[in-house]
Amino acid sequence: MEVEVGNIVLPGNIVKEAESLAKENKKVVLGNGLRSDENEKVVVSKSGILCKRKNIFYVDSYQKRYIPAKNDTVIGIVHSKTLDFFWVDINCSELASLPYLAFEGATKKNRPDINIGDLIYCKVMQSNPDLEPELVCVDSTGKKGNLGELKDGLMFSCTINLVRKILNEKCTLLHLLSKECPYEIAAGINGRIWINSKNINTTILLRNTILEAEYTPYHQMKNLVDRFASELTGIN
Amino acid sequence: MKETILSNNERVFVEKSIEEVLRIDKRQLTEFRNLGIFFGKKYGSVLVSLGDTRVFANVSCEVNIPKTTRPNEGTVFINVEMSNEKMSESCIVTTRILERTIRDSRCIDLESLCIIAEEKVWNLRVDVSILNNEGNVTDCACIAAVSALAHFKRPDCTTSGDGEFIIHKSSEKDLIPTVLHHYPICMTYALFKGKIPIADPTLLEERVTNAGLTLGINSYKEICSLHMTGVSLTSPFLIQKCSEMAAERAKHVVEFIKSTLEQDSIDREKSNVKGFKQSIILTNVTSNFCDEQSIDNNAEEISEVASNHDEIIVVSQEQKFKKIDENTISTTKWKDENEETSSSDSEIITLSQSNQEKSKVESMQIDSSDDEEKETIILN
Repeated sequence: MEVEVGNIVLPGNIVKEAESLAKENKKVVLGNGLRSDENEKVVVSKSGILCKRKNIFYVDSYQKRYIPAKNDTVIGIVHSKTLDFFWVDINCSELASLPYLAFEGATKKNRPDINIGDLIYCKVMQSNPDLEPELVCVDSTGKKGNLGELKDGLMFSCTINLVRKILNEKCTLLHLLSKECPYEIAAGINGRIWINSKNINTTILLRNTILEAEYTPYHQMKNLVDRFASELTGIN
Repeated sequence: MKETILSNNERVFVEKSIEEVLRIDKRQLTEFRNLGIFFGKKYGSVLVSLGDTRVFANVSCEVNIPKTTRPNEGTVFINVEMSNEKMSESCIVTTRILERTIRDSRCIDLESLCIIAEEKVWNLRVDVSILNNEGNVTDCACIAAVSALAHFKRPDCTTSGDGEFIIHKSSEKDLIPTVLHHYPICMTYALFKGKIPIADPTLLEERVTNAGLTLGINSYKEICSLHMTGVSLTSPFLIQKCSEMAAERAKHVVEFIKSTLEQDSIDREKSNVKGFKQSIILTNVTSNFCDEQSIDNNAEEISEVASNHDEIIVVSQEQKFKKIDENTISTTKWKDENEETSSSDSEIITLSQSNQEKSKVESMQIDSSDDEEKETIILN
């Protein structure tokens, strides 16, 4: 069965639009939940909603398991340390390696001060099905930018769906929340969100509001934030 | 599934928040999560949810030889299973706590489970499966096991003098409920800094603190079991305080179990058993990037066609039965006519013969079904 962008798709459906674009010698990127077989047919391999951004096609599906992909920003927990690497748990099937030298200003002698159990916000450098994923804490220019260790605050797990939702341009939740109170947030696409604010009470409220957003449509985000604001004034 | 490592941030945050008398899920320190008990269609099967923790318990019975030390008492066997590992440490601990709370408190009337003293007794088997662990599995498993035992009904059996007995089917004699003297309920408190008790800890809270206190208490404020893990308690007042709080809670839980049992029996009388489907919360539909979706006209048409199709099948089956019935009646008529008219038409005879065969087959089927109903299990 042929499907179009915006439809609810099931595994086995065929995406004609991507095929025809490819035949016109335009570059087409197949994202999450799509694959092409030998006959260059684009077949859906996950159930969800078919989306398209520029020339990227992907299926937006509900899932909790993270499959690493290059350039994803993720939140990892340091599991163990070896001579050259940190082994980091990024919620996927195996531990990812993070070299000591992949930090800003790190040298052989000057090692980053990170302990087991610490949270690290990092990028996936390499993801190969046959190798463990490799992480990095600097960008291409060697600057750390937003990446690095996350101190204090609260990290919680959620579905990957929710992270994608709050990072979507259409979602006004984070913007609306920032008008109510100052806070820090790091959203790892591996289904982990870290938040920090000036007191514990606010952090807990923020966490619950973000988790509630999973079941809230975009146009009702305002109501959700209004409720958050009224609860916030009740506490302080 | 492998367990993820606990991050330092979470540990520090939870400890800090408890100090400020706050919990991550907005509960009070001594507040329990919402409890839900859902009975299945079968007697003795129950699904219990405590927050997001879910446990399924099923009770079954079999005839066994009693222990030589207690020849006139039945036995109870409790088995806890977690899906992640075959026999993990927490699994064994939970099994042992349940055994001590339910079996060793002698809440089940074991003497009523005796069929023939020293020879045959009922053995009740409680299978508890942990479906989802969001903390405090012990409480949830205990409530599930107790309510499954209270819900369970075993078949009646009659003994004859010479050591033989018959187990009756539910269609012959009413099933007998299990006699419970009291309902022991487990209450778990996690201890922070060895002195702040937190009722009904979540998985995160359980992992942050190793110290815990599990009390088995019934509605008469009697402590049936006590289990402590992690750092040992320093003050005896704490146990007293916890047990008083637990006793209050146990009363409410037992009342809740009893009221759900009553509701279930009322539903059963009306033959309106809802089963586990009522445990599904329908409001939590995940909204995705598509906010609202209109159903295709095609889909509606398909469903309409499907429903019509079902009806057609049902009707056709009914018609078939009717036809057969008519045929059987007609065969008798044909017979009479045949005897009277002494077979004038050859075609009519063949028809009647085929009809007679049909009617024979039907009568055979009826006989066999009768046999099944009359069948009883005879055990030596």
